[in-house]
Formats: sequence, C-alpha cells, structure tokens
Amino acid sequence: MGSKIVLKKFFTKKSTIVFLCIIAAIVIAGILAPWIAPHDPVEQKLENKFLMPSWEYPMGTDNFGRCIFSRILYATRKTLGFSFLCTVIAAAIGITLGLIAGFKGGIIDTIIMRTCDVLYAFPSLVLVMAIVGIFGTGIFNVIIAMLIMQWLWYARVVRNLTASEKCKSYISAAKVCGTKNTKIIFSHIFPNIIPYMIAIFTVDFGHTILSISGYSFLGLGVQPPESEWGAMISDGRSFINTDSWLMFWPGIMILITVVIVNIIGDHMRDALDSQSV
Amino acid sequence: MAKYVIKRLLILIPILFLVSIIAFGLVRLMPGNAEVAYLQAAGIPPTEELIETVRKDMGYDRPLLVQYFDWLGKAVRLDFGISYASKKVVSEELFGALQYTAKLAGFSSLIVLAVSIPMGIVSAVKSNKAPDNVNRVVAFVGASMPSFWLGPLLVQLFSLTLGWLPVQGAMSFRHLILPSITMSVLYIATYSRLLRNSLLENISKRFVTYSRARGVSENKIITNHVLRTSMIPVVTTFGINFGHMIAGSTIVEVLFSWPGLGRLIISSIAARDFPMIQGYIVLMAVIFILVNLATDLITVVLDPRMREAL
Amino acid sequence: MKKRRLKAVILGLTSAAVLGVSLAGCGGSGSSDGNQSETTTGSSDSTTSDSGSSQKSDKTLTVAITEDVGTLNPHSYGSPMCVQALIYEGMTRYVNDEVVGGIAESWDISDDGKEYTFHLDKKNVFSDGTPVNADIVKKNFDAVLKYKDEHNWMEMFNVLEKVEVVDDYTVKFYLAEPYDGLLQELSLSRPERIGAEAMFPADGDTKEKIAEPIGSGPWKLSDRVEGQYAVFERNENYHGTVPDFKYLKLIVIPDMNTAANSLKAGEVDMIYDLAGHGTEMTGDTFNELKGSGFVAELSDPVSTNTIALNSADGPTKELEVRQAIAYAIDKESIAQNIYSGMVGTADYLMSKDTTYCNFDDLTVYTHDEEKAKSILDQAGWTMDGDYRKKNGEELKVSFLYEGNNDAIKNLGQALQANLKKVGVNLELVPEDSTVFYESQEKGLFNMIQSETWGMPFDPYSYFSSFRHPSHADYAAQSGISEKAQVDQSVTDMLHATDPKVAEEKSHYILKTLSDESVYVPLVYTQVPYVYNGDVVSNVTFNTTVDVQFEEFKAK
Repeated sequence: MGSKIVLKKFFTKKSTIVFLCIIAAIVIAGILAPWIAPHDPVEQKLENKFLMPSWEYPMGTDNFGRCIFSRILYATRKTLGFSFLCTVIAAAIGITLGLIAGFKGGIIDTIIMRTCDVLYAFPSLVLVMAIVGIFGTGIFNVIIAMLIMQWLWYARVVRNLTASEKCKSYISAAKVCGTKNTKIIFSHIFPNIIPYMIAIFTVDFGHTILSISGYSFLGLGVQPPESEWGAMISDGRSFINTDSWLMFWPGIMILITVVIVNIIGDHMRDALDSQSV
Repeated sequence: MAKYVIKRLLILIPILFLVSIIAFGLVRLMPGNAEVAYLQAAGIPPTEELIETVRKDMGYDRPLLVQYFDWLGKAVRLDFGISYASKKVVSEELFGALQYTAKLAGFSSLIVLAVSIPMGIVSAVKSNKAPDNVNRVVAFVGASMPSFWLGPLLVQLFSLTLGWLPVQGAMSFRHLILPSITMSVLYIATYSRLLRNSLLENISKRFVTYSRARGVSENKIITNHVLRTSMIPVVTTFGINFGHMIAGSTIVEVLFSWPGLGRLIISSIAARDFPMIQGYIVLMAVIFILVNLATDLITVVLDPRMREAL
Repeated sequence: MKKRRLKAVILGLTSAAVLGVSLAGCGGSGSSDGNQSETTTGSSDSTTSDSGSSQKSDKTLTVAITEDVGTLNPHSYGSPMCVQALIYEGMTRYVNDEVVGGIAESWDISDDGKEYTFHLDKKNVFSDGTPVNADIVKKNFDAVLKYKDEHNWMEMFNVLEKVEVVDDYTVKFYLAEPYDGLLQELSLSRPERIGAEAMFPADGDTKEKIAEPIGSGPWKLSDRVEGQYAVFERNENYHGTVPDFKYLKLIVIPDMNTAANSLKAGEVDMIYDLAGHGTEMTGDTFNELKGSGFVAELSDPVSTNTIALNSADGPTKELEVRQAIAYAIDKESIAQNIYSGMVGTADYLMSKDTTYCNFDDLTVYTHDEEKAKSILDQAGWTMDGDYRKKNGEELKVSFLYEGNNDAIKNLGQALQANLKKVGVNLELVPEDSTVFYESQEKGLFNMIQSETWGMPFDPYSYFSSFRHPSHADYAAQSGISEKAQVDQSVTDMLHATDPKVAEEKSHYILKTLSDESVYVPLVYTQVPYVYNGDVVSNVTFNTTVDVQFEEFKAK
C-alpha cells in the first residue's frame, strides 16, 4: 500500500525522470555499441596515435591509435554490465535469504543473521585481495569475492521489514484464510519492500561501479584488450601530462554515471522519508 | 551492559574462526602450489627435487588438519612465519606497514572531521538554501569520485604544475597531505550529509522548540543541544569508516608509493608471498573487528537511550 | 696503466692456443708459467682512478627502484641483483662483454680445464678494513656450496666440487668436469659474491640470514628505512674506481607513473628499467620524459626478446603454423610502436656478440604477410569469417603472460593485431605470477614471451636451461623431433675443452631452433634509463646484472 505512493512520488519527480533518462541513454549506448561505435575498439592503427578529438574520432585516439569513443562505448558494457550483474545477483541472494529469514524465523533466521554478522565484520577489500591473490586475477574472481560480501545488506533490511510486516494483521488474516506462504510473500510482503530495495540497490550499484573499475585499475579485474573504464584510466595515466584526454574521458564517465545513480538513490530515499513523516 | 559486552565478545569466536579458515584454507587451496611460490618468491628457479625438499622443510607433506592447527597455534601468538620474499618476520613487516597505513587513515580522518562538520552544520542551518545545495552537489561529486582518477589529477596540479607537494614517499608531513586528501574526499561527502540529516532531525525535536520558547539563542541551541545528540551517528560511522580506511587504502598507497599495508599486500600478491598474505588477512580482520567493537561500545556509552534498551 | 682485459667471447676457453691468440689480439699480456697452464690477468685498474678522494663530490645521487633492497645477503636471491652488486664483489666481473678481474686479480686454468687457481688482490680490503684473503673466499664458497642444489640452475654448481686455500692470497677451485662458462658465471651478483667475516652469523650459515652487510664493493650501506629507501655511502677502500657521489640513495617506488612523476618533480635523479628490478618503462613514457628535458638513453643490447612457440601443444605443433606466425609478426612496427624505437629488431635468438653465436646461415624470418598467408593456405588452414579454420576448428593460438606486466600486455595486443591480419586468432591469457610460471612449466601455452637470460648468463646458463623440464624453453622445444640431440649438444658444448667443438655444438642448436621456428626473435632488449643531466653524467649500463654507479659523475 505505502509503497505505491512512494513509487508514485519517486517517479513523478521531474529531475528523477531526467536522471533516469540520462542513465538509460548511457546504458542503451553501451548495449548498441557494436552499431554506434565508429571504429573497432581493439584494432590498433599505430599511425593514428594520440589524435586530438575530431569528427572521425569524437574523443581522440589512444597510444595505440584506437578510437577512444568506441572504447568508451564498449567499456560501458563491461563496467556497467559487470556492476549490474554483480549488484543484481547480490540483491537476489540477499532478498531471498532475507525473506526466508524474516518469514520463517527460528533457527534459520538465526543462522542467516549470524552469518551476516560474521561477514559484516570482515573487510570486503581484504576478501577480494585474498581471493584474487589466491585464485588469480580476473573479473569473475573479483565479482565472486564481491558477491560474498554484498548480499548481506539486502538480507538484513529485507529480513527486518519482513519480520515486522509478518506481524501485521492482514498477513495473519491471509494465513488464517489458508493463503500459501509464497503467495503471501509475493503479493503482500514483496511489494512493500521494493522501494527500500531500490534505495539500497542504487547506492550499492554506485559503489560496485567504483569498486569494479578500481580493481581493474589495479590490474586485478577486466583484462586487455577489452576496454573497461578503470583500466582505461590506468592505461591513460602515463599520458596525463601530454595527452590528458586519455584518462579524462573514462574518469568523467565513471563520475557522471555514479553521480547520477547516487542522485536517483537519494530521491528514492527522500520519497521513503516523506512517507514515514 | 556487561551482558552486551560478553555477547559481543562471544560473536568474535565464529568470526575469528572464519577468518582463520579463509586465511589458511584459501592459501592451501590455491592453484599454483605453495612450494613453487616459496622458491619463486626467493628467486630460485623451481625444480622437482627442490620442490620436494621445500615440501618437507615447510611441513607441507603433513595432513592438512595438522598443518592447520599448527598454523593456528602460531597465529594466535601473531607468529605468521617468515616472508617468502623478504625473509623477514611477517608480523614485524605487517606492523611496520600498519604504522604508515594508520598514519594515513588517522590524518585523513582529521581532514574528514575538520571539513565535514562545518559543512554539515552550515547545510543544516541553511537547509535547502544555496549553501546546502552547493554542499549537496559537492557531496554527490565527492561520493562518486574514483580515487584512482582524483589522485593523479591532484599530483598533476599540486606536485608537477605548482610544485608545492611531493609526488610520492612518506618521509615527512608534507608527503602525507596529497594521499590523505585523495582518501578523505569520499568520506567528507558522506559525513557532511549524515551530520546534516542528523542535525535536521534533532532541530525539529521538542526540546529545541522549548529552548527557543525560553529565548535561548539559536547558536547556543545548535552547539549545546542539537550538535551533541547529532554527533552520535557521526561517531558510529566514524569508527566503522576508520576500519574501512585502513582496509581500503590500497589504491591510494599504490598511487603515492605510500609504504603501508595496501602497497605491501599488492606486492605480496604479485610475489605469491603466502605467509604475508595470511598474516595480512588475519591482521586486517582483527583490526576491523576491534574497531567495530570499540565503536559499538562507545555509542552505547554516549547514548543513554541505547543503554536502557540493553 | 693499460687495461688488460680478455674478450669473454674467447676467454671462456681453456685452450692455451686460443688464449694466446686472443691475448695477443687484445694487446694484453698473458704469461706462461711453464707448468702448461696459462696465467691471465684481468684486474680492474685501481691505480687509474683519476683523482684522490679529496676531489670527489659530496653529493647524493637519488635513484628509484621498484622493490625494497631486501636481505642484502650475497648468498641468496632476496635482493635485487644490482643492489647486491653495490656492496659485494664477485671473483670476476663482466664489463662490456668481457670478463675482467673482481676479487681475483688473475687466474690460471689447468690443461684439463678442471682446476682454476685464482690470485687475489693483496691490497683489497672489506669496507670494515678486514683483508679480502683466501680464507674468507673459501668461507663464502663453503657457505654457498652447502646448499648447492638450490643453485643448480647455474651449470657452475653442477660441476664445482670444492674450493681450497693455497696460500693467503691464492685459492683453487676444483671442478668435476671442465666447464667453459665458469669465469662468466663467477661474475654474477649471486649467489657467490664475497662478504666479510662480519657478515656471517654466529653459526656461519648464510642460507637464511646474515649478520651485517659488509663487502668489498664500491658502496656500503649507511642508512635504511625498510620499504622506503636505502642510502649507500661510497666505500673509500674500494680497489676499483671509487664512486664520485658520496651517497647513493635508492628510493622504493613500485609504480612506473609515480616514478616518472618523481623524476619530473626532482625527487629522484634517475629511473631505469633493468631486468625487472628497475621500473617498467614503456616507450611512451621514455619519449615523454625525453621531451621534458631529461636525458633518456638506451644501453647496448643485453638480451633478446623473443616469442617462444610451443611445438608440443595446440596449432603451434605444426611447423607451418609456427613459420606463418614468424612471418606474420611485424617486428619493425613493434619496435617502433610498442617500444617506441627504444630497441633494435632482432633476427637471431642470440645476438652475434654473444660467445659462440656468430653464424650467418641461420634461418631468418622477415615480416611477409603474403608468405604467411600462403603457408597457412597450403597447410589446409582456410579463411572462414575473420579467422582460418581446418577441419572445422578455428586457428586459435593462446598467448600466456603475466597479467601485471604492462609492457607485455601492450606487446600481446600488437601481436594480436598482426596475427589477425593473416587469420590467426590470438587469445591473450593474462595470469598471475605463480599460475603463469606453472602454466609455463607445464607447457600450457601456444605462445609466450621469452627472453634470453642476457649477458653474462648467455649463452651458458640459458642453453643449460633448455635441458630442464621446469623451463618454458624446454616445453616449447619438446615437440620438435631433434629435441634429444639439442639437449645432448648443450651438454657437449658446456663441457667442451675445445672451442671448435663448442662452437659446432652451438651452431647445431641455433640452426635447429631457427629451422623449426621455435622462437621468433623480436627485438634486442636494451635497458632504458632516464636521468637528470643537471645532476649526473657519465651514466653507463652494460649488463643485466649490475649498474656501475661508481662510474657516474656528479655535476
């Protein structure tokens, strides 16, 4: 019930729509990269090194004569794609476990929540370092390490919301009527936690973009010749003095994307706050 | 209160157990075997016979459980063995590096407090007016700024163009400034918003209204009443973030060649220096856990309501 | 005083006849002592030091290195090679492709090549003032020989049986078999450099640790903060050229960009990229620094950068595929673009300067895309879409490399582009170091970047490694039919007492490897170094082992 109002309030705010459109544009540009990109992102044309931005090369070329614009487009797929994948899986695991813990209670609840407590006390970067250090570098190892740490945020919130929702009279009524547990979860509890999930999801998504590009920057994540925003910054860092746009573009893309994602999350929280007042 | 502390201490047992499993287990599970790593870290090209010798010397031919308990027994005394690469005592190297990371995290925290508290107060007092909106934008940008982008930009400006600050190293206070700024930007953004929201929440409370009715000056209300209560969440997150700063300093340390734990772990990972990696995992987890525990206890002491709830 | 040096190219030999010729050729003097053995002198000229210490500078030279100076133990591998060479001297020294005297002033070699008698410089002392005599040399070698198995990647430790004191300043080395490369290997910076009595721990065992880093090299340790920097002070007692700089400060900066920035900011005076112990320098950085007013120079070629093709696994099992790859690679473009012209393209696995490697009839593959395509067509690999296929299988070749190495990553990307043009799909496989070494050992690669070991390891230690399954070279060569003969030839060459035989064997090895296209020689590696010309001059680099900081002049 309350969630509909919240979502309505969220989606009717004009600036939210604008920001959602920008992020959608970036995502679509990434998806359509093979059709939009003017050049092959990995093909080296060494005679075209360090060209300034032009019509042919909208963002210029890098130290291998590759089109930076095309690389940025393809990198969008990697950076946002992997971040999205990572966040969605974490959310799915977290929400499922949170619902189970909150709804079932008892020993299952204790086990899941204590696991959360234990993981919460473990610094995520250390775990990533441990896993990457031991199983080798590569984006999948990084994502797995991040997943281990990320789901618990969702699980905690969902568990608490579910537990409090469960006590409400309409749920008891539904139970008395013999409604199935899954149906109760999906038709009554789940809709109510959606706004909270969106709020957490956006913040988490922003963090994940920064983390994944950060690990790629350190050479632990996405590997060449694939382009990735963080890795592009790392590659371009040598040229900050002479050809600074090499690291300017990927940096500004990360910044803009994360800012927008954070603002959207903020608007969601505002909508939620206004409901609670 | 005593019950709460005991409860918190009890939960440390499974956490530390998990940490030890991760530190020991992952290293023994890894694909390239430890004997090869040992030889390579020492710069010796591995041969079959050498690998066999090392396996015996290091006791890797014993059953895993025996090795685990042997390792655990030493680990609780902070004895993680000798580094494969540097041949130095692991715990000494780790504590040496920790000093630098702590220095970096400590100074960054000071910057964070010095900047975010005034920012938060101004935002709250002038909420939804120009200063608040400016702060809001700054906070959003700060929270979204990749440190591996900001760092090189700062170096370019302050070290190379202006020549004010050194590029790298840890020899003096001046060396501390750029890495600390790079590190603190994210936290400034989150703290200032947190404090602002917390202040606004308290300003609307009843005791503020009473004080106003009694004619207490607005400044006094803010400093004496509102600020004190509003600091509680700031203190809480401060503690947690200090743990995060120590664990998350890798990028900054690599960028500025800061001789702390982050740089140490990156080179240890590259060299497959397993005793060092194990020691790092355990040390970090313990620090993180202790900082969290201390923070929780301080919060309880600060906040009377929390004390009653126990 | 004349420098009396012996060309390493020929010196490795024990034959009196060749020695005589070479000595005459070099204008040096070798005196025959009548006992059918030759005395050769290779002393580095202590008396030519151009000035007394009064004229030396009191300045500090600050240099960036990628890792901490480490254990400073000359008998282990725990320090960068060039750092060990600062403090400790070896029996010999390898300078400008020649073996010259180090701690040993001169030496005699018995006829059967199994006994080497070394004469020490009687005036030489360690930095703590104790004499460098036969006893301490023996003590050092005994400590190393105790763990000789750990060092058997060097042929020397497979043949060296014992070291005996003859008199106060004479030691004798006994070998189980003649070994041609002994003098060259004795110049290496580890594990057989000589430390003073004060260096030994109480139990005399230097395997794990030493007491004090005291040697007779040009520098001595004066101050150190682990993980940050180490300061070395010049050793006024040094019997070679006493350094001009009073202090040498090595600052640890693992990141290349940070090091380059430090140079620009004036925090360090010099950066270099030496055999993995300097800072990995890309050509772009090199040129950028050159453009910003620094002196950016390259050493003479020190080793050969090659691509090894695995003859035992995957599509590279086929000779035609290996040949086509060799033709498809555009070395010139790689030299220009990946290394920014910092290197010369290589036709041969071993540069002709290397001992026993000057041959004209080896197979050379020059860049020729069309030829590569036609070889593949004839071998049944036909174009299908972007890449070739045979029997429904794509021509996919894996390139294994260490993920954190930017220079190799760039190279891989360039090779990928080269091979795509002839329809070969090169898959880049970055791995972490241990996994990388493991895969390399097990031959789990089709293509790998490989480097000859560089002088003074070449050709002896490098050829020797062909025979050990733990090296990528072994794996890469294992598919060719003549592998057994190649291995035998290596053994014969190392123990040959007749240089003609050694040369013949070396020829067979190199000829077979080039015919079989196991290696694609890319470029000759040259050490790039960049320094601030306002601070230092007379900067020279000539081996992969040590940097002759003592020759550098302060401004």
